[in-house]
Amino acid sequence: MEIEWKYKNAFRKALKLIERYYPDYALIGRFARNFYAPPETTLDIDFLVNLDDYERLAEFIEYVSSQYQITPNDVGHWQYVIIIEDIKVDLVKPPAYKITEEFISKRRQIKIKGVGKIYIASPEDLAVLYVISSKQRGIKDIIKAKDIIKYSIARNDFSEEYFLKKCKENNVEHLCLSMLSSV
Amino acid sequence: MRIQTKGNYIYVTMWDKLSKRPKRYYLGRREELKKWEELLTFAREYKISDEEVRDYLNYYLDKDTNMTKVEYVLLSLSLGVELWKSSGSTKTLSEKR
Repeated sequence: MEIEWKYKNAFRKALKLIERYYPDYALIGRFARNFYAPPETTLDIDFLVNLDDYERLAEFIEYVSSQYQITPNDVGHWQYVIIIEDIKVDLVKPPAYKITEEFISKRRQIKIKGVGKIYIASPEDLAVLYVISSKQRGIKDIIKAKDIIKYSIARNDFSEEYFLKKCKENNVEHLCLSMLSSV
Repeated sequence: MRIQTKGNYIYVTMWDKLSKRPKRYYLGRREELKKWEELLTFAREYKISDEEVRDYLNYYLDKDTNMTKVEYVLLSLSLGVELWKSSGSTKTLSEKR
């Protein structure tokens, strides 16, 4: 199917770019959420990468700019957008969020035919990222976090202990406890 | 659970599952009371029915990977972009930006 091929092609190109500069990346956002809950339509693919390393980021921007449009095109931001064949690819690193060894080791790997192997943030880390962003974006991100928690528990794939630990690290424990109280 | 105030700050007292005792969580300034009420209420009250969970496990779940079937995840992206392109804008994402 032509449409499917087109998206897989764009996804493969994005992945190749990101893996080259950020091997510790993780797929996040709604596209990642869809691996853990009933899928919802999405417009973009979001990657969490360490944008705090300015030297690497400058090299990345220079390399990407020669092939695609990247916005903004200087270092020091926490979100970048690259357009690859009509697909919006976001690179994100929420301020103060730490990409720890534990975060990296808990990523899930999945193989997509025509794209390759990709790493997805664990359900616990993804839920925490949504809880953090709900402070700015409101209840829609609470819904996404709770979807991930509920469906992951149903799959026997959710550690409350690790989730709460990450919530505590990111000062959103109260919201996380509220969600767990009624799952 | 009730949001309380202390001076210009708001807080909630909740059971800390990790330390197994009550703990006071500061939320921010009093001006943010409405926002926090909405977030905390929704966090507690938003529910997903057992039927929805059952449907997910029966139709969307790939038993081998214990994750959503890849074809549905990819479909969510292609449908999302195609719908966006056909809804009101004849321009593509790249032209828009």
